[in-house]
Amino acid sequence: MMNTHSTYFRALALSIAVVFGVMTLQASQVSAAMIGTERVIEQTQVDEARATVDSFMTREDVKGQMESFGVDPGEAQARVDTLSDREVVDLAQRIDEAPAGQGVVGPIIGAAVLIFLVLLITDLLGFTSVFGFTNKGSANPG
Amino acid sequence: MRIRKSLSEPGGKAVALRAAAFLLACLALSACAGTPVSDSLVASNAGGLPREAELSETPFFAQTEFYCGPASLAAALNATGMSTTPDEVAGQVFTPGREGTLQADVITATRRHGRLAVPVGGMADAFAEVAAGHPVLLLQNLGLEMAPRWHYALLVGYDLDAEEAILRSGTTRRLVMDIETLEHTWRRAEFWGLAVTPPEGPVPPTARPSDWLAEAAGLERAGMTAAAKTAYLTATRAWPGRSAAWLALGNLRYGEGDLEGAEAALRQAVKADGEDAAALNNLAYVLMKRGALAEAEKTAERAVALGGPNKPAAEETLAEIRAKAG
Repeated sequence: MMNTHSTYFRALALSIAVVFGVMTLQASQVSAAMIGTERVIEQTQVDEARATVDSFMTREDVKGQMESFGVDPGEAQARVDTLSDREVVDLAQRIDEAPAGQGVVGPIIGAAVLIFLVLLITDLLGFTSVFGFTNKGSANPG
Repeated sequence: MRIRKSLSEPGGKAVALRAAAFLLACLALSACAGTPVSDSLVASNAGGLPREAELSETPFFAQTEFYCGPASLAAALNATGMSTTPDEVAGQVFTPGREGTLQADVITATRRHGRLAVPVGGMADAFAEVAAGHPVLLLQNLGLEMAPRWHYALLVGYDLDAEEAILRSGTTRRLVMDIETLEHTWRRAEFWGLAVTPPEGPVPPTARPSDWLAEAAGLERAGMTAAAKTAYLTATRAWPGRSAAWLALGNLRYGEGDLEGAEAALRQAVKADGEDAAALNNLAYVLMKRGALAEAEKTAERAVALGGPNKPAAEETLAEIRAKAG
């Protein structure tokens, strides 16, 4: 009984090892060759997200809102620049979903920008932690 | 205005921020009840949006029970010049166990029909798409957040002065809905929407290049290779200054064993953006495969010199080329 089992497990272990070996081989072949389309698209998404966040942060109305909260826009920008790729994509998506990101203009934008901005900035400055994805206190710094 | 006044009073930054956070919580709550986008669109001419538009030619299929997904998707597909029926697409999208249609299935079924499911997420963008001739397939929650009632419909028109949206919905060919109701019900579905687009375009005006490319790559995965190629070429015309679509086309041709075609596309990618390290790396690799080792080495060196996230791959490519050159 024991013998049958150990033979069975040995065969299983061997086949798992073979499968992993083949997978590793394939992975290394890919990395030494062409850079795949999926990866290129991911990088394009990140570039676009950074552009979205940057253009949001440099808007005059947004800057004005920041200053009214005593936040230096330059400092806020410096902190946004340190966000990782994934964090920036998340942040850009929040901007797009907010009314301010949907082309809302006029007085209503004040409220919309404020909601986004203060949550982000206060979290960046360490006052709240509504956004779980800023670098502060991250489990994986850098 | 009250907000600004209270904050401009002297006091610590922390106090001000705490006050702001509290006010924002209130605002956030009230924002859920309001319809800021509709209000703004009705009040102003944001982004040069026409005051009204309607795609009255958009086909309609009256849904049978639970079949709003297949009915809306079939109508959206036929609006791009196809000829399908809800029953035909139902096999690809309907999940009987859930008595409904999952969003991911709508996207994959669109691709399997050789069409791109280009995301459209928001009122202003959706109206801009309708004004440009693209009906928008959207998911609404007609119930409450706690007790959702999901429903797919096709946005085909709007009238900002009458504050109305026009939909192909359920069993109603021309459903006129209050624009604010649309915003409420659509927001409860997180503004999930898409423009079903043929690969040759025209590209929906609010589409991001990365979304179009991701959809084109989706066509590739669905085995719709010819449609994917067309979609990549469409992107190169829509965004001529960008290299990614040429790069994707080069990769596709390389995968087919068409080295000459791959080289041509990758040269276009480098021409569009000489600092695209991925394009340079892939061009170098294809040149090596074609035996043009001297140019391959020079190209790979350029890719390595650019650094960035693709540097390790470029270094490996360069090493392989040098090993071949001896």
